[in-house]
Amino acid sequence: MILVIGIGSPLRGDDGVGQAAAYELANRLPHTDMEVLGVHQLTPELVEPISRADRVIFLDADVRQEAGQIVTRQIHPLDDHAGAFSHHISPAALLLGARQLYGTAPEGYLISIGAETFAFSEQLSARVQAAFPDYITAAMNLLTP
Amino acid sequence: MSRQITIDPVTRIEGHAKITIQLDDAGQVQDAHFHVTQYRGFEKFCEGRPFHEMPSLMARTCGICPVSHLIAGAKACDALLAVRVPATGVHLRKIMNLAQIAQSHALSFFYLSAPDLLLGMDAEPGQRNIFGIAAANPEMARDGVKLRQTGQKIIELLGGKRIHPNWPVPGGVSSPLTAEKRDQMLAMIPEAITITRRTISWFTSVLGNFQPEIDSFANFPTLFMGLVGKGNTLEHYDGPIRFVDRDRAIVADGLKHADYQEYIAEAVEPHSYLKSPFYRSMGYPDGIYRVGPLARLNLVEKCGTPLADEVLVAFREVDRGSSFHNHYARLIELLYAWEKIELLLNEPDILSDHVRAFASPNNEEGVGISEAPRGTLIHHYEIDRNGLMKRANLIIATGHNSLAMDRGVAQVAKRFIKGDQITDGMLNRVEAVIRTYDPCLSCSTHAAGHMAMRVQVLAPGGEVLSEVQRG
Repeated sequence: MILVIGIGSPLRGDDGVGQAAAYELANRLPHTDMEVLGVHQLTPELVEPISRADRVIFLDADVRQEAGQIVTRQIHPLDDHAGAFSHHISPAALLLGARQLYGTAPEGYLISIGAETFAFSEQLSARVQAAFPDYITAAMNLLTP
Repeated sequence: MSRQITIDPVTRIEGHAKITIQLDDAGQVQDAHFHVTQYRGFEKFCEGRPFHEMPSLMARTCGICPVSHLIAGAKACDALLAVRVPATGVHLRKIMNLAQIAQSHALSFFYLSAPDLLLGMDAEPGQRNIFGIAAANPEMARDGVKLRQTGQKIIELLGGKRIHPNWPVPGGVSSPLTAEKRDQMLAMIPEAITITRRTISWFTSVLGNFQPEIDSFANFPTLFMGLVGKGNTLEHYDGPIRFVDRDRAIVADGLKHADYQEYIAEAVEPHSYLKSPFYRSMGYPDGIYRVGPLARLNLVEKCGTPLADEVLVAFREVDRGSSFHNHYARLIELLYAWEKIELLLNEPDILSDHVRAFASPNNEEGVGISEAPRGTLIHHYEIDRNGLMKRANLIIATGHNSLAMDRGVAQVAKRFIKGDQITDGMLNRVEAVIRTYDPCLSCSTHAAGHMAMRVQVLAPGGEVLSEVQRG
């Protein structure tokens, strides 16, 4: 099973791109062995569904990238959770948590897309919207194990 | 020379707050205060909105307990409509409210407080989190994850999503329950009960390690307030209000929700945005009272479910005045919640499609009161003839505990802080007394997170004499 986790708030402009992409994948590929979750933040209880997956793909906006720029990177279980709280945890720490608690961590990828604005809006900015088809393609490329 | 220590922000709570501790010339704690430093303004910006939007609007007050605001908001709207919610609608609202309480209690115990309870108050700060628990006791971490998931899943099955489900509506709930979803929920309950009983056994086995904290974590006489159910049992949805004293003697009973302003008044302290409600007839601040898990168990004779009542027997032997025992009470309520959800799901009418009553507004004022995880939650709405909001007053559960938290911080600081030698363990205990109340200050999914903690020792003139930075 492939787990897709879209991260961000759909009410904060480009921050909602992760969830929007996750649900777009679910609509396009209804018969794929894929579970889709849309979340505002990464929380500890996600370690359980992550531990059941063969591969997990995190989709998130990133202010450090140029708006619309898409970057795919592999994530490895990593102890970077110092100070981890109820809703402030990295993808790498979740993979580690899955391994710690359930003895297995799937292959993990983070596909980030550069964001332009997180102002109150249910719309993506023009540049992120323009890059959205490529963002979906990048995710679909990882849906085949 | 007198000095001031500031803990800013307080960590592992929901929201933003700081603590200031005033030392005297000898380095002894003179006084301490709990300051809530954020302001929300929900009561103001809802003015002019149609009343029927209020439950879903007010649910946005909080990302941890949106269901609690949905329930209280829907009940306030019921009062505006002057409708009687169908029995199945009431049962379904109760199930969602209990699932909300369960998932929130699991978060509070396993994610926020268990690091102190399992690893110790003096443990390395970087380890005092859910992953530190995972390393030290993986089963406990898995248990925390499972219980939180179970509560959230029940909310999702009922309302369509885990956070901000717009399912409780004025007059009832928006859709009936299906047999498939009921069976899914029922299938989850036995494991949740097993885990909760295991956790209670563990907690009671380590309770003796925390006697200094039990003695000093807001351990003083106050009133306790909350709802009481039929047969003198736990109640989280409806029922009259009761006040008891430290000895569990009834001070006031059978109080009506609509009359809350006759027995609760609200004060404002200059050092905090949190309102400070008090029991009106005893005045301010003598009318200090507490709400939440400890208060609820102090109010009633029994829980009303078999397994919770079994563990309540041992609970009756502990010091009922110590807020440290909110942890214990929280676990008992967790057990009660699973049992009660199971009972409600087995009600013969639970699949009925008669789940909502319809009406136009018949009253210009409506009060809705229910028990949120952290205590009694009050929503009070006033509307005009067009059904638009004229005024709202919210008393959030954490607000009721404002005075007790403030006084509790002073008590624990005097017990553990000793002048110049500030250790992380000392500071953690000052924060931990606040965590026993599981305060929800931010009431927002975006406001909380791990934040650095800074402690400064200041001279009377404000200059920094020393500083400790954590995180």
